Amino acid sequence: MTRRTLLVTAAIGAAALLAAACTTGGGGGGANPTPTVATAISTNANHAPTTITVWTFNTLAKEVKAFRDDLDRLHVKYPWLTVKFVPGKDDAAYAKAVAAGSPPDVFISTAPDYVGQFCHNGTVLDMNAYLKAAGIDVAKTFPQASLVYTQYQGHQCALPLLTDAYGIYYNKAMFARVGIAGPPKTFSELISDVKKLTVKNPDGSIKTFGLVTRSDYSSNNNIYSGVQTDSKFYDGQGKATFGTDPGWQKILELDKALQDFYGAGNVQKYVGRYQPHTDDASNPFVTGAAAMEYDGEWHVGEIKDEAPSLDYGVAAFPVPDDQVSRYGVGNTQGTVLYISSHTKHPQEAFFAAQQLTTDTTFLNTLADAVSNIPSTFDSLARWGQANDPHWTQFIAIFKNPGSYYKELTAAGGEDATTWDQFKQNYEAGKITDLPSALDKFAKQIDSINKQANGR
Amino acid sequence: MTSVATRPVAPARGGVVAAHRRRASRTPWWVVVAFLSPFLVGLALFVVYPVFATLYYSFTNYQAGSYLPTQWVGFRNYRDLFTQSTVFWEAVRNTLWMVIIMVPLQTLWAIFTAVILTRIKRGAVVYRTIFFLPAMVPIVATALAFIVMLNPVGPLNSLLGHVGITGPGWFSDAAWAKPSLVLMALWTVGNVMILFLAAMLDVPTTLYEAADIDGASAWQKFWHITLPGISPVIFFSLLTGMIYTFQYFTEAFVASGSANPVLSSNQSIGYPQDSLLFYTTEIYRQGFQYFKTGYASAMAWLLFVVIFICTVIFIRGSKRWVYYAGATR
Repeated sequence: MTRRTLLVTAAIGAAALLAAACTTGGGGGGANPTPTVATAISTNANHAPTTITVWTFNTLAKEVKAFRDDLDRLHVKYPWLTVKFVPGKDDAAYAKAVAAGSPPDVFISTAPDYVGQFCHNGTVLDMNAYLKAAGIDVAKTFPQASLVYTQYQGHQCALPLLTDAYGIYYNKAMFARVGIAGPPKTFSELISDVKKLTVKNPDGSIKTFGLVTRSDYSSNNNIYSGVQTDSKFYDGQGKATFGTDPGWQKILELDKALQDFYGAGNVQKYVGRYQPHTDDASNPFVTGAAAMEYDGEWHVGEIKDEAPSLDYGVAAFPVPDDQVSRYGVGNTQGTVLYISSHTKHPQEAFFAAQQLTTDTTFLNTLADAVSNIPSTFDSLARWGQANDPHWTQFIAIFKNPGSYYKELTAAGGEDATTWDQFKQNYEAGKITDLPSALDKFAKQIDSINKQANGR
Repeated sequence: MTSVATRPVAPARGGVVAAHRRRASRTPWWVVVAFLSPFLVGLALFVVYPVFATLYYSFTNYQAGSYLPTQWVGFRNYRDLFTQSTVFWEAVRNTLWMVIIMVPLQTLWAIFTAVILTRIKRGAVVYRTIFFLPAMVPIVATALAFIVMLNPVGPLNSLLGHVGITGPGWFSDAAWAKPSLVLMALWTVGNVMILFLAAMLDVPTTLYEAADIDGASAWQKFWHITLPGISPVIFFSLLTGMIYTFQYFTEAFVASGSANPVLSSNQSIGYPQDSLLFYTTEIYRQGFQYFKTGYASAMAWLLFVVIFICTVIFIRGSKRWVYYAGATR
């Protein structure tokens, strides 16, 4: 070996060792480190002054203000606790902070996509011990639908902080004009109603759409989460069910039937035109370009601001004809709160988390500010909007025992994103043999999970 | 005893210089290193270490943000790229499409605009400035401007509508998304155009005069004089364009995200229908959305190897068609 080769080899070796030394973000510890001593801080006790950092995804001024106001109230009530509040942080920023060894004590994420991954990887704290010490029974505090997306394999790795439910908004005047008495409950009724409600122009273009279900439009991807057909992403053995559960094919065929009725070109124009306006005053349901739309509950607040005189109703999305007894279910998910597993202040972080996720006044104030559903039984019971007919429907979907969010896995959001890609390819006509493609897709999802589990 | 040593002899002028050189060469090595240290430290920390770290990561299952012990997985990440992922091949196809279609079109368009500018006699400086200006606009701003202009109900489709043409969905239509990016790339071709303009103005006029005497047509003069004269710039444009396009990211990332603002960032990558899924946007998604740092590192190293091989092939092939005035071949 020449001297030069020796030097190069040594340099590469040293760099590899250095890389290896710096690999794991923040050191070892293993997954799901359960605290050895988990004690709750009493609300009446004195405590040494502590500052914790809370990151949140929120960026809208009214949402940030609601948080700041509440944290200020928290500081007045418990002067020893100071919260450094940082808005505008997403899951990627959080993971990078963990890798850099300086995560915030508490992180509030917009969706539960990564609960499984963060829990599996030991990124976030399993709060079971702290909840027990604080005397909080999650089953009696939070509705079951929100526990589905905050627990992973028995670990309470996140807590729900407001929740979302999805359903259809329908224009009552348009329904009455064509003689439809109420919202559709089954897939057949939906197709029939869409055909009656759609108004075509003489040139073949569409003036008013019944309901556009293309999966990449607005919140439509939640139609295909499986809940409408009682399909689960995974079976008891953790294998993907896309090739074995006929429900997946049923919901995709519903989508195709509607797209074929409109014409793919017309749907493309609709999506292209209205996609940037799903949440503003040019929204097609608000302007009358659509008789129905599928969306989350926050749109109630937007319609109130944009078109207060619009006469509309809210209902659950239909179910297959042979499952009409399940009508009323819907996709549910929501904002989640994590505590970093390697925080230096786990007790104080949990204390703040407890206040943010269970304090009825805060939850209801925030729910009003962001038009979300409060996430505890107590806050739901005391919420001022709970009797509003629009909100009643969403709360019913949220409380329905058949409503759920897809199963969490160590792969985080990759399985759902890959499913989105599959749907888009199907809608684009790239898939002709659907059963065979679904079967192949199931194997792809299994491979993703296998990779995520390190096998 | 001799007195030679005590009698200073004035050195010749050349001797002084030589003495200075010797003094310079005896500067302690650590002084040199000390002066270079800001650069060396920066290079080591921000270039050398990350490069070797990603090489190491590419053979592990490392995930950013994970506290699980990192395991050595050998070539599994590289194998999975080819065997387990369908989006990988979609990203490869889209990237190759851009390299094969966009890069030559950009070069041709830059040559064309440069030729036009050489013909303009009055107000040449003004026109050159106008053509160059788009290149000074930040990429993100350019992308956002095009997203507004190419909105399905935006100004361009409105204009097309007035002349009876139904405009496409541009960035929101899978069939038109990549051509829309090409359109944007042509608008920002000023950097290359200015090089072609300089090269064209540098071709000796005597060659054109001789061709005129021989009765050559305008096309013959362009083909036999201008093109060989600017061939080093063509080579430069194609080579740098190819390397840049293999790493094409910002425009696609902004266009996908803006075409579908309601989707989360990992869902919007490649939108619509993966038509804007490029190799580097997939690296980003794997590394920063799925946090599969090891897998993303393997993708990055594979890209490096591919770019390196393509560059070597391109440079070797260029000897056949690139003409360097004054160089021996």
